[in-house]
Amino acid sequence: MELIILLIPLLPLFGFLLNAFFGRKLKKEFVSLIGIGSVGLSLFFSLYLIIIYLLNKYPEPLNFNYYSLLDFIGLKIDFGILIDPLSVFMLFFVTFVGFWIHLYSIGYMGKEEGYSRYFAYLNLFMFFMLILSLANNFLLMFVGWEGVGLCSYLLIGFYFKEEWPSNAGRKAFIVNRIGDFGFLLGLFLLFSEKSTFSFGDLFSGGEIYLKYATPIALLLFMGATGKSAQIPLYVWLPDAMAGPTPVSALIHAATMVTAGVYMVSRANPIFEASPTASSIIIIICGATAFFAATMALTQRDIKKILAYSTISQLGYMFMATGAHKYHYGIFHVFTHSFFKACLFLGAGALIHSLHTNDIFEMGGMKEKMKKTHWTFLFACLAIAGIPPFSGFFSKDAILSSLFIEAQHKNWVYIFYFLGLLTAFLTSFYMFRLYYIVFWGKPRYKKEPHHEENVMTIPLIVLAIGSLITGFLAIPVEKINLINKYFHPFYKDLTESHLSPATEIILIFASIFVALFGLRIAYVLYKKDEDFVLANNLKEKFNSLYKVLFNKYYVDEFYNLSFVKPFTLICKISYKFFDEIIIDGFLIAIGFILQMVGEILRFFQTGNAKTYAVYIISGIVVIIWLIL
Amino acid sequence: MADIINVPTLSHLIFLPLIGAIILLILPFKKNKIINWFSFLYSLVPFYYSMIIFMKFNPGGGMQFQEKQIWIKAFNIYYNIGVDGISILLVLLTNFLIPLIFLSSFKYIQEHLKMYYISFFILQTGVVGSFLALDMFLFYVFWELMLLPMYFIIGVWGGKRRIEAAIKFLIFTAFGSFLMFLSILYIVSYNYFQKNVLDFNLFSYYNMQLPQLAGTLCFFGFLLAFAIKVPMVPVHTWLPDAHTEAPAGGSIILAGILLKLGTYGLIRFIVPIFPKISYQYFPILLILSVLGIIYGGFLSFAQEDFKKLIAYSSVSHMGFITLGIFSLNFYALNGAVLQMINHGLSTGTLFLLVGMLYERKHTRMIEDFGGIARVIPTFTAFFIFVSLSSIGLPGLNGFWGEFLVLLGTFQEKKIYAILGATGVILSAAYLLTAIKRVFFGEVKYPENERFSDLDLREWILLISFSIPIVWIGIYPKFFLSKISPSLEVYLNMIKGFLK
Repeated sequence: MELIILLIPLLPLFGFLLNAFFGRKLKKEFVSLIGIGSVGLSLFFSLYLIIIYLLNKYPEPLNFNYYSLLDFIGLKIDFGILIDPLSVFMLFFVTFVGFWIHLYSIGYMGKEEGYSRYFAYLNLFMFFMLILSLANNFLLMFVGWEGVGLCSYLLIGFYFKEEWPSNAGRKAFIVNRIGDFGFLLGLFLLFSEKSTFSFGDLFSGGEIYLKYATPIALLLFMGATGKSAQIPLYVWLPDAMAGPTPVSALIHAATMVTAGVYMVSRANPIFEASPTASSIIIIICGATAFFAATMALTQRDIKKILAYSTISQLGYMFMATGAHKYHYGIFHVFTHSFFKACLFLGAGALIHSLHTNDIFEMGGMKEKMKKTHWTFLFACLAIAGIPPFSGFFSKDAILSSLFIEAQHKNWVYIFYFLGLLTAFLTSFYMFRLYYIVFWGKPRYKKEPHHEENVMTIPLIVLAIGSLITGFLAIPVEKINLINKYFHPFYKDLTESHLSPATEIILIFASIFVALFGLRIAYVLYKKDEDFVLANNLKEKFNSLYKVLFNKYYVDEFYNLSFVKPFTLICKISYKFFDEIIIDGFLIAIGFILQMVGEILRFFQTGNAKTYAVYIISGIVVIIWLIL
Repeated sequence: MADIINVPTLSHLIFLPLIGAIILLILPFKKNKIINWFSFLYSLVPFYYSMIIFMKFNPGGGMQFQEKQIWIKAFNIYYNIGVDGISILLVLLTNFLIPLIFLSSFKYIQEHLKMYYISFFILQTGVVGSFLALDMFLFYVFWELMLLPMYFIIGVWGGKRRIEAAIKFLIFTAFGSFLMFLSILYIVSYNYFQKNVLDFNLFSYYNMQLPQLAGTLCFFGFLLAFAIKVPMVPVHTWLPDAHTEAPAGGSIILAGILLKLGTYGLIRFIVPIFPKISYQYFPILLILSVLGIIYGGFLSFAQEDFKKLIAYSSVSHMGFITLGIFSLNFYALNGAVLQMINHGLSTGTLFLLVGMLYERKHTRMIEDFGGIARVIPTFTAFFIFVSLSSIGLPGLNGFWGEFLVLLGTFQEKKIYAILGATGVILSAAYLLTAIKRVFFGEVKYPENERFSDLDLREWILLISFSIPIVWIGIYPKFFLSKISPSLEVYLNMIKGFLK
C-alpha cells in the first residue's frame, strides 16, 4: 500500500525525467506513450486506492512518512503522504481530469514544435500537483505549491518565440511569489506558536488554539489569493491564457488554481479559529466573483472570457470556505474542474480548428463541430447553474451556505445577493459566448478542420462529468453524499440549518437568475443575429463598456503604481546610490589609503615567505617594545 | 605508504594543492593540453581525499582530525588545524569546485596557462588552510596567501578593465586584512600582559574580556576584514567590478568560496571572540543584512551586464547568510551554513553559464542576446534550472537555506524575517527578467543563430553542478545532520557567554 501511494506522484515524475532527457530523440508516439502512460498508471493506482479507501467502512486517515527532509530538535519535516477524505477527493479529480487532458493534448499539440518538452512539463506539473494534494505537512505542500507555480510559468511561456507569452509567464511567477511571501510568513507565525508543520499534529484535534489566529489565517490566505487568482493578485491569470489551451484547462482552470481553496479547506481549523479572517475571505472573494464576472461580459477572446469566469468561480469556492462550508468549496472545485476543463478543451478545439481566439470570428459552429457543440453546451449549462447539471448543485450549495451564514452575520446577505447577481452574470456571459460561437452566421475566414477523436473523447467524458457529478450533493439532507462523505472530516460544519421551505425558495431563486441570464443572452445574441440590439447597448453605455472592456484599468494601475516605481527605485539605487555615493565614498577613502600604500608598496613582494618574515619581525618588534 | 594514501589527513588537503603548484612550476610541460589535463586530474586528488574525510567525519565529535605541532617555538605559534561541522562542508565545496573550475578553463584560458593553474593551486591551499586553521597566526598566514593569487587571476586573465578591478579588490581586501592583523596583535599582546603567556590558539580568545574601547576597536577591525569579504553593504562595491572583470573561473571561486571566508570568519572569530560587543551591534548588523538582501536585489534588477547582475545577486544572497548568523538562532544558523554551500553552488554555476555564453559571443551585455532559447535549448534548460535554485525554489538547494534562515530569524526578531523574505520576490523578479530578455522572444541578432549547444565538456560540468543542487534540494538532512551538532554546541557556547 505504502509503495502504491508513493507511485501515484512518482510515476509522472519518471515520465518527466524520461521525456526531458530523451524526449527530443524519441519518436512522437513514444513521447505520448510516456507522458500519457505515466499519468494513466497513476490514475489507475489512484482509483485502486480510492476504492479500497471507500470500501473501508470507517475510513481512518492513512499517514505514511517516507523519509525526513529535515530532522532537528523541535523541527522535523517528513516527506510524507496523508490519505484522508479531502486528499482522496483531490487525488481523484486531479488524476482523472489530468489524464483526459493529457490525452486531448496529443491531438491539440500534435503538430507543434516542442512536443516532448510539452509533455515533460505536463508530467512535472502532475507530480507537483499530486505532492501538493497528498502532502502531510505544510512544508511539503509548499514544495508542491511552488512546483506547480514553476510548471505554470514554464507552460504559460511555452510559445517563447513570441514576446508576450514569456512576459505572461514571468508575471505569473512573480505575482505568485508575492502571494507566497505571505504564505511563508504565515507558516513562520504558525510555527512560532505550534512548533510543527505537520497536518496531523496541527489539525487532528479538529480545533486549534492560536494567539495569532487572524494574522496566520490572513497570511495563508494571501498565498491563496496568489495561487487562486483572487483580488488583489488575480491579474496574472488572464495573461496566463498565453499558454497552450490544454494547459489552461488543466492548470489554470481545473487543478492548480484551486490549490488555494484546497489549502484553506485543509487548514480549516486555523480559519475556524478566526471569524475575522472568514469574514474577510467572504468580502474579498465575493467582490472577486462579482468583478471578474463583469469583466467577462465584454471580452472578445474566448480564453479570456473563460479565464475571468474561472476567477469568478474561484471566488464562489472561497466564499463557501468563508461561510465555514469547506466541503462545498471543495465540491465546487470538483464540479468546476469538469465543466471548466470541458469548456477550455472545447475552446481549444475551436481555436485549433479556426486559428483564432476571437469569438466574433467564429459563429455557426454547431453544424461544423457537432460533438464540440454538444459538450460545450453541457458545460455551459453546468456553469450557468441550470439543473440538473452539476454547477447548479455546487453553486446552490454555496449560495445557501452564505444564506445560513447571514443568519448570524447579517451583512453576509449582501454577499448572498451579490452571489446571486454573479450567477446571473455568469449565465449571461456564458450563453453570450455560446450563441455567438455556435449559432448565427459563420464569420470565420478559413474552413474549419475536422474534429479529431483523440480530442472529442475527452470532451465527451468531461461533459458527462459536468452532467452527473452534481448528483453527489442533492440538496436533501439524507441523500447528500458530499455531506455524508465529509461529515467525519468537518464534523459539525456539515450540518444544515435551513428549513426545507427556505431551501426550496433559495433553489428557485438560483434557477431563476440562471434562466434569466440565459434568456437575455438569447434575446441579444441568438434572436438578433446581427447583434443590433447588443451594439446599440454598447453605444449607449459606451463609457461603461470601455471600463469593463479594459478590465477597470487594473493592470494599468498596477503598472503605474508598482512596476514603474519599482524599476525607477532600482535604477536610482544603482546609478546614484551605489555608483556615486557609496562607491565614491569608498574610493575617496581608498585614494587616501593608496597614498599610504605607495609608501608601503616597497615592502610588497608578493612572496608569502617574505610576508611571513615581515609579520614575524613585526611581532618581535612589538613584543620587544612591550617588554 | 599505503597509510598515507588511505588515511588522508587535513594536512594533505592543505598542502597537496601547493605541491601541485610546485610540480607545475618544475616540470617542463609545454603543451597547453598536457597542462590542462595534469592540473585537472591532479585537483581530483584533494577532492577525493576531502570526500573520504567527509564520510569519516563524525557529526557529534566536535573538532576532528586535529593536528597540532609547534611551529615557531619562540612565539608559541602552533601548526594547529582541525575540522568541525562549521568548516567541513566548506572544505568539501572548495575541493569540489576547483576541478570543475579547471575543466571550465580548458578552452577559455590560453595565455600563461601554467601560471593560471599555479595561482589556483596556491589559492586553494590558502582557502582550505584558512578554513582549517585553529591558530590565529596560522590563519592569518593562509588568509594572506589567498590575496595575491586572486589578485593575479583577476589582473592577468580578466576582462578589459581588469587592472582597475584587481587593484580595487586588492585595496579593499588588504585594508581589511591590515585591520584584522592589528586587532590580532592587540588581543594577543593584551592576553600576554594579563596571563604572561604568548598564545595564538584561537579558542583561548573566545569570550575575551577587553577594555571597552579597545574591545570595540578590535571588534571593528575584525568585522571590517570579514564584512568586506562577505561583502556586506556598504563595503560591497569591490565585488561587482572584481566579478565582472575576473575570468569565469575566477568569478566561480570568488562567489563560491572567497566570499564564504567572510561569513566563516563572522562565525568562527567575531561572534565568539567578542560575544558581548557583537550582541550590542547585532541590531545594526541585522539591519545591514536585510539592507543587503533588498538593496542587492534592487541593484541586480537594474543591471544591463549579465555578470554584474549575478554579482549583485550575490550581495543579496549573502545578506541571507549574515542574517542567519546574527539572529543567533539554531535553525537560522543551520540555514546560514547550508546557504553558504548553496550560494557557492548556484551562483558559481550561474557564473559558469554566463562564462559559457561569453565564450560563444564575446559580450556580457543582456542586450546582445535575446531569443536564443531556440538556438541552444539544452543550455537554456540548465540556465533556468540553476536560476530556480538561486531563486530558492523548494525541492532545490537554495530553498532550504533561505527557509531555515527566515524561519529562525522569525522566531527571534520578526521584522527582520519579514523584510528579508521580500528577497524571495526580488530574486524571482531580477532573474526571470534576465532570463526572459536573454533567452525568450525572437532571435534578435542573426549571428546568434550560429551558437552551438552544450558540448560534452560543458555537459559534464553542468551535470556535476546539478547533482549537489538536487541532492541538497531533496535530501537536505543528509548535509544538515553533518553540521547541526557542531552548531548546537557553538550556539550554546555563545549563549553561555552572553549570560
